[in-house]
Amino acid sequence: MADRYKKVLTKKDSSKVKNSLSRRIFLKKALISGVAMATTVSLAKKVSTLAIPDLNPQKLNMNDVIAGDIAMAQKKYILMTKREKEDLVQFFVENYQKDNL
Amino acid sequence: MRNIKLSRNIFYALLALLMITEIGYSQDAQPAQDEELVKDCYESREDYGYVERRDIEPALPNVICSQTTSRVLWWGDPYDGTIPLGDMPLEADYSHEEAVVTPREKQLKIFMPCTTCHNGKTVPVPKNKEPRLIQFHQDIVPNALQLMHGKGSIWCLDCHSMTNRDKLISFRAEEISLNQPQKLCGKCHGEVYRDWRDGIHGKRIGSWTKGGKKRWWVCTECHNPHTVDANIFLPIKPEPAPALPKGMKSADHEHKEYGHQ
Amino acid sequence: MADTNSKIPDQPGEKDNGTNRRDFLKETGLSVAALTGAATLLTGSQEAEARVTWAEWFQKSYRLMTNEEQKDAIARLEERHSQEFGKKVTVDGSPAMKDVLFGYALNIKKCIGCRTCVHACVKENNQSRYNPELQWIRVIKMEKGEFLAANMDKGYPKDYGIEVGGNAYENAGVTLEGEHYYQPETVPEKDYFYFPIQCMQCEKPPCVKVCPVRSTYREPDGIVVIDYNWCIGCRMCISACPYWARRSNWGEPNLPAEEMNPKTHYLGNRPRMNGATEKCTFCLQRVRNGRYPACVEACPVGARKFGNLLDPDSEVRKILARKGVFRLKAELNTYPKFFYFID
Repeated sequence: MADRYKKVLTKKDSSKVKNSLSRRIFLKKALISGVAMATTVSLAKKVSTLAIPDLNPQKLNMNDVIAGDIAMAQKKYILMTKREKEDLVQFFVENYQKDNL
Repeated sequence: MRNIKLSRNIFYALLALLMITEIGYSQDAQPAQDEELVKDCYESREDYGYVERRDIEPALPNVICSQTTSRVLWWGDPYDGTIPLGDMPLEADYSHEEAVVTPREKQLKIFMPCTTCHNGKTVPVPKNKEPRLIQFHQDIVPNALQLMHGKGSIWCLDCHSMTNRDKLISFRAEEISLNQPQKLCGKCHGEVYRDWRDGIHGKRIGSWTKGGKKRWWVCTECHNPHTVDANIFLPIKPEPAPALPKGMKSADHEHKEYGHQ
Repeated sequence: MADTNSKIPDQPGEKDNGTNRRDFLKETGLSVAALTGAATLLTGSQEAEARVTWAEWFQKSYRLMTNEEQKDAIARLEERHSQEFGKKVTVDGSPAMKDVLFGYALNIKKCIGCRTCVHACVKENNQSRYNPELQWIRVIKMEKGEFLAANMDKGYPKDYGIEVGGNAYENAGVTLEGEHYYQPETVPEKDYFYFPIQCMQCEKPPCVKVCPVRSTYREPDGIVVIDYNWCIGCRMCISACPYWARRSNWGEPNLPAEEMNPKTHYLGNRPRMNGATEKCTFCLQRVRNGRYPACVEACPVGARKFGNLLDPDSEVRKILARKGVFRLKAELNTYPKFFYFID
């Protein structure tokens, strides 16, 4: 019981001291965490740049989309053969029957 | 605790602000509407018959016309003002009652039947089918000696009846109604005629179902038989292009000169 | 002692928790009220509309609804749209017809690029007219290729020559690169052909595969539909579609009441909302009631053909049997049911 009183009383009395103390602690913590964060970020960046060779969107586009476009550009509109057309119709009919049994 | 409360209140305030701005966010003004509504429109051939827009039911027009090209864009009732197509010389997979056409002969009544003048007296019946210069109908055929059909092998009276000018005529001297020109055209253009009869050439509107009621477009509703050698289908004005994406000033980048491959 | 004692919390934090909960409840209450108010404001002040909006927020995916729930959802929409557009709006919910698989064929030699189909589609399907202007059909003007006699025998498959689809005809390739915004005095123009593209209603649609909430799916009659209410607007399907067929409502759609087509279908042309994705449905509201799609009817040259792929006498099957047919980007194995043919 007495301990509790003491605690409460000390809290009230030393509020100013404690406030300044907590500010100091807070600043210290902020500094530490800031430094830690910066380190982590830079480390992560370093690791990611090492792991993933190039994240340049321009280059990614050139390698992925443009390559696809070029591949399509070299293709022709080719008429289907009679066999292909028959097979396609057969595929559609069978697919419908399979789905709607 | 206080800080949390404060930040939460700020959050709510921001949320409310966001909602208010969302409500208040106004779109750009609506583009100005054409003052006069185009009501006379054509269906396929610009120089052929016109259809007038009217309401079949409240808020259901017979057609919706394009305001820029006066072409019919949409039919409220696809069978409006049609008559049965009648027999086809060869059977196709349609039932006779369900195939309809817009009658062409009614145009003769509105203006004037051809036989008003071509009655054998006002204009005498020609002696033969030999091509010769004619003084009338330059609006249809500018130079009668250069008919743009059949590359010089046929002339007016090979299709129009010599004695009854309100009818067409086949080479077997059968009179054919202007409502059913396909019976005449099909005699020479057999392959296209077969495709048309089977529904894979030409235009039809109405029901897609097998044997369902359809309005068939006959040959002359798309092709002008007097000028087909020059244009199978007369060039028409296109509908407006889509809006350019926001921020794009012109579509020059699309052109070949721009370096586009 | 006892007094003082009572002021001191027995278990530290209890008082705090109490305040917390009360505050929380108060604030939650306030925010719910704010939200409801905002919802009412957002959808206009009409009470019916607010009620509909409220019910729509708790609506299930259309595919998972019971028949009763579907009917309720449709009734709600009819109420909302009739009020919004000031006329009797019907929302159809008819399911796919039996033994029907829709297919489409377009005569690429006949198309003159007049864009009549594009605008007929807009009139029929209640797209936003401006800002954003949405059109489901895109017509691309392309240069004609040249015919090279040297390539006559380089047919496909080998040694069969042009008769089975030889590639003597050199074209620009399957790039879809051409002019979208062409505006000449008259069409067709010499040395150009026109390539209309719209949703191909793929048998194996890549857009359906990527949808994270399964709001887009393939119906038994082969049409790929979207439940606009269930759509979260992530636009994954737009980037997945190789045919550039899907459109997003980038803003609140602008549909003038007098231009609104009141005959709608839940999965078809009912008015969409901001953020929802939309696309061609072969005019679901028409074709399920036996009518041709609007673009088929509008085409002044009759280049567009439509029919049942399961019926050998249908227009599409006859074209497949008789005409030269190709599909766009067939090598992607999406099995489009939209065919391009030449006479």
